[in-house]
Amino acid sequence: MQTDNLIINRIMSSLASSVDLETKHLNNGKFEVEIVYLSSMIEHTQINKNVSLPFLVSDSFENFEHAITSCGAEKVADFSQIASFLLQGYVVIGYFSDIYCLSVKRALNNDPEETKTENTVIGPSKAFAEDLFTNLALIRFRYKKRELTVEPYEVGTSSKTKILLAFDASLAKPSMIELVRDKLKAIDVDMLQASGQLEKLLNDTNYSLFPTVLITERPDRAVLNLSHGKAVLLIEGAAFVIVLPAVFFDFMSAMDDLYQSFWITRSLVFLRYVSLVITVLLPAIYVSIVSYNPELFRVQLTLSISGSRSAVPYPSYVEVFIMLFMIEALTEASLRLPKFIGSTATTVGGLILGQAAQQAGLVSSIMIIITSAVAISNYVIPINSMSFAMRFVKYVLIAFASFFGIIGTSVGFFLLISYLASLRSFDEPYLKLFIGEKNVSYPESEGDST
Amino acid sequence: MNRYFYYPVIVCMLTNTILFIPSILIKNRFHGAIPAMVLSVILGTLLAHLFTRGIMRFPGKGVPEVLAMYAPKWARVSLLLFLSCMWFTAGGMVLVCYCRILQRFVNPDFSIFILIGFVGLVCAWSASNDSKTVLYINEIVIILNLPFIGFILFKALASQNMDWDAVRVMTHYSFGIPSWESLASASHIFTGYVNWTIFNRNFQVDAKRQFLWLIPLVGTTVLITTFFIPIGFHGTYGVDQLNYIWESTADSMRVEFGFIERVLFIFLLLYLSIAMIYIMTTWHLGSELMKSVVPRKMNPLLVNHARWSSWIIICFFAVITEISTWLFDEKKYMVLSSAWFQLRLISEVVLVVVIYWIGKKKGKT
Repeated sequence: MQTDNLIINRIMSSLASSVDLETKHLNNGKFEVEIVYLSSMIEHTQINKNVSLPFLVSDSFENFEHAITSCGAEKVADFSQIASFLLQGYVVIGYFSDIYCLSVKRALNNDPEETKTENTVIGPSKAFAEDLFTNLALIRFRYKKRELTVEPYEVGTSSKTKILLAFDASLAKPSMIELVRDKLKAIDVDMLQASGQLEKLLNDTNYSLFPTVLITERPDRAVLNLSHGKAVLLIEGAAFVIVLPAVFFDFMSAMDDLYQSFWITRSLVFLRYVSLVITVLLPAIYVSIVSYNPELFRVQLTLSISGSRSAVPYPSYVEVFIMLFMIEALTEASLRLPKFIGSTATTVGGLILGQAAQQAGLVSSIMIIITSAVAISNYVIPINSMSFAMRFVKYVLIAFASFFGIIGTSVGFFLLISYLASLRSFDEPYLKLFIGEKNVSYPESEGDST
Repeated sequence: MNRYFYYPVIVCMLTNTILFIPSILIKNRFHGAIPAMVLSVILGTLLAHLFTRGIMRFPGKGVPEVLAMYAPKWARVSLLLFLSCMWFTAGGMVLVCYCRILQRFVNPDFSIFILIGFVGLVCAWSASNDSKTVLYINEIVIILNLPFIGFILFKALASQNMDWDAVRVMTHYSFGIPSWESLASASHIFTGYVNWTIFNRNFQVDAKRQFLWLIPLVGTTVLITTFFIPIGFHGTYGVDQLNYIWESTADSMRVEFGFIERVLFIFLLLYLSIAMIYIMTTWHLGSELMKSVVPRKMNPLLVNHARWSSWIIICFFAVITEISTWLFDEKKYMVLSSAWFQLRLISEVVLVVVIYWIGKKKGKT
């Protein structure tokens, strides 16, 4: 596809051959231009409207130039950049040595879908889309404040993923924003495709356990955090945005907490923390009670535990590891399976295997109850990344309990608290009581004004 | 008002049962323990007040920085080294004593050395955090524990086994010459404020708005309960038959309708976390004081590897603690802790006077 325009020829030769690379020679009888674009990246109706139509009605190149620049085209002086413009969905218009680029990008996946991971009972049910500016529009739609600042960044040498950093300039801490900017600029990676990946790249330590930024798909959560003075990172092609800094309590709160009545939300939050304690401590306590300190519980309870364990031939920690491995495998399997088979897997795993294992005397019936209590309590944690982290933590505590009994369990819990308190999320202490969050969702008189 | 001020103070009050304070007081119960307790309330409050007055004139500065401005080098270095060792000893003593208690009451089969190593390692790791983190941990653990400690106190006071006549008999010994040993150990309850020697770097105190009157109020309550409840349970004479007075007292109570029937276990697990905070805080202070006397040319090393340098210093002292377990048995430890209390009272008075005097000098200029 050779043309007369030398510059266009040079651009063509710099790009690898591809079926969707199209060049067109346009002639309206008065003057001629060349246009080049990647047909897979662009919206054809926009080319017709913004390029072809002005071209047909213009009687000189100057008029045509006015028309396309008013549609947003820019003149490119540095010809080496043209190829990257093409790859981002621009159409390149060449008139002798004048080159213009006009964005006619086709938006992919720009419809907000139903929330998938953070559901609420009542409350908004649309999640973010996979298009950057749709997501920004969703935020603007809910946050109409002049101070909303949005800065563009580009990460990834191959993927050239666009990232938007949004924050409320009047509320966000300048030092924190500066830190985020520095970190974004320092990222050196080839491909960036998902929010979770960006989270890892923003993290200083290679071996992290707890999430220090919040990944959410809910626009209302993102906007609520903006009003708390936090920053939001929108990533092109990802339906999840990153909220930072995030502290421990953010991961334990659901958006429903704002939409339900006072006592209901307070008791739900309480329930969540009790569940957290159960999911982290219960297996460890079981091991330490059975293997070290049966006298800790009242006699009747101890007798019923040891009675149900009478057929089990091995020490408690083996039993715990077998059952917890089964439930983890079940969780992992039902995550990957197609939805139709998923329910079968849980039935087979949960009901049949559990029942049979108990009757065969491989595990005690108390252990089955504990396993299910641990699993159910784990699902209560509202943000997935935290419940994954807590799934891991309980094994550390089980190890402590296997070696040191009930002492190991409480020392391990202390270690967990001090580890959480030692973490920092963008200089914000991760676990600290009374964090002094701004009250933006209630009138002053109701509830906590901290 | 700075709420973080109170957490080390409360921890210091609560650790008294671990550090043989009830035993020492009860040993002297007929020979001036009660007057010593009264005197210790007055003395402790006075010292807390003077110290806070002094240190509040230096916002953002710890005692090492204050001394660097006003004291000659030899005095500063020797005082800071001495204080650092005092703090490490405090934490180490609590570690050894509490691990012995745990071994005795929870798992007699445990090797005491492995247990001390395990608990000590976790405490050392927590202590190597920065000062703010240490205070955050203090806050969380105390707020999780206080309701249960209140429950135990309520359980004790409401118990049918509590013999109030024995308590009434004890009031007959309210007057007399206060015993020095009792005074030294009883005043340890009020000594939590000295942790502000380092924490003043991160959190400011203001003596006028700090509700310092809470210290004598809470301290008196703690002293009275720690002294009189065992006497009420075991009788005025029977009480000195016991080595671990408070553990035996807790074991005399039961929760009829709870998961855990024996209060002893609730007590031990609660005080395990209180002891761990105490060890963590004292070791953190010890390492910070130790780091402050390191020569100036090594400073970049300390700043760049703050975590590692504290970790190394603390582990060194943890090893010494472990060795001391070989050398001294429980009886010797009891004597040792009594001697430590007496040394502590003297050095505390010296420290407070120095800080108050320097603060006053600064206020004049």
